[in-house]
Amino acid sequence: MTIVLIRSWRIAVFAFAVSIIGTKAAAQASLRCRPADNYSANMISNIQWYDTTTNAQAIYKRDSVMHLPVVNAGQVTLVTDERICTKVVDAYTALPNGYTPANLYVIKMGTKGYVSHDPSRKVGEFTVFFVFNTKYVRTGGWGG
Amino acid sequence: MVLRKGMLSGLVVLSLSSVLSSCDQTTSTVPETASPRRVSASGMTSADSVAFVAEFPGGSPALATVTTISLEAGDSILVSVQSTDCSGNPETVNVYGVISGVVVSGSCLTLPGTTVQLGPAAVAGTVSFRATHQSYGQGPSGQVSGSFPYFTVGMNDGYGDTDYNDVIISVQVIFHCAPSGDAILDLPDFRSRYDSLMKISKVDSAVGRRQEWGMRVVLDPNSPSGMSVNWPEFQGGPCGVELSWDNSTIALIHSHPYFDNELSPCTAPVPYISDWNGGGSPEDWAVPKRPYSATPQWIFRFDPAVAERDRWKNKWRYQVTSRDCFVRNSIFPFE
Repeated sequence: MTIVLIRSWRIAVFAFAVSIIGTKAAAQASLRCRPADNYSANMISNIQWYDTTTNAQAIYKRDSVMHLPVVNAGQVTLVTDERICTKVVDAYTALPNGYTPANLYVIKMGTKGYVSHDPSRKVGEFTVFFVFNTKYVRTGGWGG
Repeated sequence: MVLRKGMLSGLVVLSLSSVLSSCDQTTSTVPETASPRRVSASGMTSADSVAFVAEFPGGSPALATVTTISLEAGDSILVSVQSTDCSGNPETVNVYGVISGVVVSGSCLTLPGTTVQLGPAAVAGTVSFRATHQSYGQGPSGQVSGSFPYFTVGMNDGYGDTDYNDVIISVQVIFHCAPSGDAILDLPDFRSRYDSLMKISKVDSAVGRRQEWGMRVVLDPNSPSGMSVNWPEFQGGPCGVELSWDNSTIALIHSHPYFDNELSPCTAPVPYISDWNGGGSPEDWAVPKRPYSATPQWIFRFDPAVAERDRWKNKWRYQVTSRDCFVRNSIFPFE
């Protein structure tokens, strides 16, 4: 009898743990915003450099090729607001030949829009970055 | 680029670093005879030539009108008489401009095969060539054809015909690239290998036809530098190439065969930016054997010791000049 009770207790704890983990996993799976990490730090620094450089070649790229909005370095921040990331995901889906990313990095460019990047989407070794305005219309981008 | 696992041993790392540091110290200015791309007789790029032909669709671009060859300070010229159709004795060829003097002089029939090196030029500028008959006098400046660094110059002396074949010479510009400071890029045969890498990657073809290729720099005890470039070794596709290495591998170079701002099949619908993430993909940065990527305009080296968050400011970036020289480009104020 004692043995049966212990087993029941263990089963209950196990079931509870499974339910907690399952809930967490489900919650994480639904997150559209990728969290801050070294990769996003590198992206943000690279964008900040483009936005503050005085190098003419880089300025040409930024303004005429990438169409990267120019904002103060402090306004280039990683988005953690799921509502915004979900809208960006929807914008990807709506693009010509679009697809629906599971999640992505979204960088806020002050009040001028967003830069987004899905690192899981690659063509060979290349990945792409899209620029969206505040209405989630793609206005630029680049690949590398 | 796609990684393939290779072998790495501490012994190899040690010998590699000693070879590289030794090379860094002894790097010297090396005569360069590789043929840079897209520069023609008057210094025109291929794009210039296209514009020229578009503007003058009925004519042959530049051949009938170019009479000078552009030189940089330090350039020399190697002149060889190809053929003659003259009667002078002596028949004399002079060079004018930033290099000046008598190139050859003698009986017309004896001139073919004569080779002479002149220079170097003290300053940048142009040179032109004229032939002189001892009786009929000097003709107009010779007509230049060809592309850097190999040219042909046809000249008339003062006899008065217009066929520009009284004396025909070949002119090779012997130029020097200043050392880039990078032990691999300054290898004597690296520039020609780079040129070949770009050609086999079809960088001058439509974007859809281009392919990544890779090559290794390996230990070579028979080479004065202790290294040699194995080429070509790795054929890839438009957006990647699989590289491998072994204990003899010192460096791995692969092509990104796209120009900056170009709409590539790998990045469509957005343009390619070569220097994003310091010039390389995460896979490029992970190669343990001194990895490089090479575009038609840039070469990037990836130091695995650089933290991921600092890759954007990769300081090992080299601009490729029109002569296929490599010049380190420091665009970051904190370097």
